[in-house]
Amino acid sequence: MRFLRLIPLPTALLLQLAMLMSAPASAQQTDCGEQLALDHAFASGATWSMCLSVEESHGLTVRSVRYRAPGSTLRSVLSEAHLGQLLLHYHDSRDPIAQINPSLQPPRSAEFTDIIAMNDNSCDGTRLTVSGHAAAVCSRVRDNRILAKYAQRPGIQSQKLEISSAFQRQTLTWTSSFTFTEDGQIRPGLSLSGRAVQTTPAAEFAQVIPAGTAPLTRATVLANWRLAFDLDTPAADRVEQFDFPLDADNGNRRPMQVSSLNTESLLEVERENFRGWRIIDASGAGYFLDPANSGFSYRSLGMDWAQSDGAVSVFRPCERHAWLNSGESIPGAGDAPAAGCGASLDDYIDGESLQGSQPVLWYSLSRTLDPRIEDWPVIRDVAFQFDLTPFDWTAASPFEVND
Amino acid sequence: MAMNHLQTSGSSTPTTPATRTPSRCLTRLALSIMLSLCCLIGHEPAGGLLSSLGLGFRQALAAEPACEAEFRITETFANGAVWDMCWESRIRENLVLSDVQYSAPDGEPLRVLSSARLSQLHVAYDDSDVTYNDVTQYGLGGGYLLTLTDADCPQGELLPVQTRPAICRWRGQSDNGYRTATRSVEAESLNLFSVSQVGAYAYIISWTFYDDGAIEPGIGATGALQRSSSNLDLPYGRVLQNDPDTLWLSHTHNYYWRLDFDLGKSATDDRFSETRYVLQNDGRRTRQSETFDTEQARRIDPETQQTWQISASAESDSPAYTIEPVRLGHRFVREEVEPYSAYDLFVTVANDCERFASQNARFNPDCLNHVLQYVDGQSIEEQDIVLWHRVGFHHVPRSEDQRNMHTHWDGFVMQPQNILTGTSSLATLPNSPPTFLDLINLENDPGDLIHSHLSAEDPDNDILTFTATGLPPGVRMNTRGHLQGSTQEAGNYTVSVDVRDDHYQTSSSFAWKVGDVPVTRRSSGALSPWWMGMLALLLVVRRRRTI
Repeated sequence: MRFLRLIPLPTALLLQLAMLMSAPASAQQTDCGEQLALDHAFASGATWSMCLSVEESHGLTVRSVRYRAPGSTLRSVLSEAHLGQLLLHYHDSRDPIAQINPSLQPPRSAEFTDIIAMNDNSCDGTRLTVSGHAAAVCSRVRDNRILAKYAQRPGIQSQKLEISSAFQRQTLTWTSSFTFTEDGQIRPGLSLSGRAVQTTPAAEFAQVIPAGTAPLTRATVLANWRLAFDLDTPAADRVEQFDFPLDADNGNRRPMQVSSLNTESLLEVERENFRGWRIIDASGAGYFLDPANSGFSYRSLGMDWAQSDGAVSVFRPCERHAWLNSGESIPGAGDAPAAGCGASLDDYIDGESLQGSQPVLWYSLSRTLDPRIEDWPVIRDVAFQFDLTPFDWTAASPFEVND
Repeated sequence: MAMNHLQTSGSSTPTTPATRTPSRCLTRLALSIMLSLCCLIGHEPAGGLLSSLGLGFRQALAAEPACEAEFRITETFANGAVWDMCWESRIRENLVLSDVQYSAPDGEPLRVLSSARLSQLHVAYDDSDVTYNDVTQYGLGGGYLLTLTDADCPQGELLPVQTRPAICRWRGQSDNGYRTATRSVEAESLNLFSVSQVGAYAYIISWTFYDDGAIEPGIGATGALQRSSSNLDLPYGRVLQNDPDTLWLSHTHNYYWRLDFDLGKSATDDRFSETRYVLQNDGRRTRQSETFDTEQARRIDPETQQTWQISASAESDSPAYTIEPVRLGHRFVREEVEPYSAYDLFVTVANDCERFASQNARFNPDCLNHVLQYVDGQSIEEQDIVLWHRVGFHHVPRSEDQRNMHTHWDGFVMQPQNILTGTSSLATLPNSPPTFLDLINLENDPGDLIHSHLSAEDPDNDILTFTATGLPPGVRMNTRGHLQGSTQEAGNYTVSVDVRDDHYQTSSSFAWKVGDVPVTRRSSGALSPWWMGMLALLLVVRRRRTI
């Protein structure tokens, strides 16, 4: 297993060995090439398997993500997932600042990297050396509250595997994470912390906090994820859009409308129609993206892709970032740069048919940071996260026998 | 509760709210006293009985929570913060918290909430107007409250409701902390939950109180699916893999919380405002804040990223709490049947007669029926005000829901504002400021390539962040203190540098001479004041605390 050879620190090696030894070997060991292989088995038998890499431009990437439900087989979910773009839009500016800009953030040596090395203070789990960055990833297993409870039967407790990596842009700290629950849920997450130091003399765009500092500029953040699904047979995977519009003329019923997205398209949250999206394979198994945390939408001038809440596109290795895309393919993954790759999500969504192609879901969340005294000198975590939920992945809950 | 397996015919059987239109309560004060007493009859003994007495009788000063010791919860965190409150379990709402106080680290107790509870659990099915108002139709307490065991509360302590354990209290870690290049601090939290079995559903009623003062009401829905149909052709649900003869119906859970804030010096000085960040034609965003003086029904405005605040007074730095409606990706709106469903947040004058967000008149027959009716234009100035907030979840059945259904969680966070003195007050680890090492003056020629770095040390071995101003053009420094680029313009530069850990900032400066540029002397002869100042800059490392 190549990942073991990549770890220079004996301590990290021991920690990783300990982690692997605690997890039963999976049926199919993931071939991760130059990337770090990570497998974790929960006590229930549920297993997650994946490859990890860390890149200067956007931090953590998970690849070849597979899940085995208890009593089931290991099956592919995602071929690749990572932050697709991160916009920091100070309120006194017309345009946002891209926190992900591969041309300005090429691979760097450890001395100059913006990838933060975890230490005892910042990672109470296992620190992993990934992509040559020592202690760049924190892996830990935590309790995940009550998985299920019914009447007086004892509640079923569960755990989750959390993988996170942090990078710095100026004084801000961005932590990209993927949480994998024992029952198959994937929770991509991002948190903003670090120090707010951007100031402006224009009072209408700033917040004075009673700490004797200059007024801090408010900012809106747009976080975008790129999720390349691979449900066993990627070419057969389909994307469905679910809507439940109110039919006031028919007893206020809400008929379920399921439409297949057959061509590349931008996606909009429809809050009152309970819109959501499902990625489904030929067998009918799939994952559901429920935009429950989409209370806010991002708006700006002159950046069309960012006006939408998401998009679905055909997978191309070189279409990695929603904006300022460098046109390069996955480093080390053996894919040559493809001709004709665009610079932004606008370019990718050109009406191409999704049929027979691997779909990529792009999804965005937005929040505004209005500094408080509680954010001085360090911003309390501003969290962005959403859930990808197994949907008919198993014929029934694998955690309890039907009664 | 309704049958577990209710067959539907596909016809609509509308149910409407009570059609009575009771007059607005006569005199709120008098009625609140009467109804407080009425409410106590037929309900479980209230641990926080004093808190349920009517409007105008409460003291908003942070006195000791008024309850017996067995109904009092006090949690002290490692950073010194304290949450203190009373609890009771009622037949209808189940868990009601009262006299909720927060003490910041090294701070005085601050009264936050007079009372807080779930005020309705509204479930609407997609196939018809069939609607459940679980709090008022059934109740979350009494016989619906499940007895908990250690298996339900493996890391906590079980609190008894009357004679049986029914509330789990536990202390946890959460992500609600902060992270810098230096360190990550996780927030600690006090967690309370109980479980109510209403029909097939088991609702986990949860409250989380963080060590930074944030509050997170939450609900987990588990148990089993409730309603189904044998007509598999209906477009209102799904057939699940292990149950081919049944169509399980999609539905929406709408959770309404009733939050009686008392942040000010008295119960009647809280203020309610709404903030929007409005995109201007030039691409910039301006903050627009509006303080309301009458009762309100508000709905989210996603594009302006609107938030709501309740503050202790009109002063801009008064203690406040902010609600960001993040979890509003689903909004159940069915105005024809439930007119209040068009709104996400309500502000009303406190009235103990107004207990439930819907079906209120069922238990308070002389009162109005739902929360939108409570909003009738009454002034909220110098009144005790109550916030009602709803969060919804549309549940599309999946095969994994059978059986038992995995918990789907909903809730929201109320963030404190002007309550702490800064982030560092949350830290529990000792910290000392960093100091610069070998900060020397630099001298080179225009066009020289620069590859250098600043050094500093930190007694706590924290990772440090550097910032600089006044660098020669063409030179930049990253947050690690690495200087890169090439000097472009000759000149004398004074570079100001800061180095920070999580808590402290140390400032200093050094001189950087590029090219053979004479220093401009403002006078001849002895050292000028300018030179004196430069010497001082070069020789003195100035430290200052930011906190």
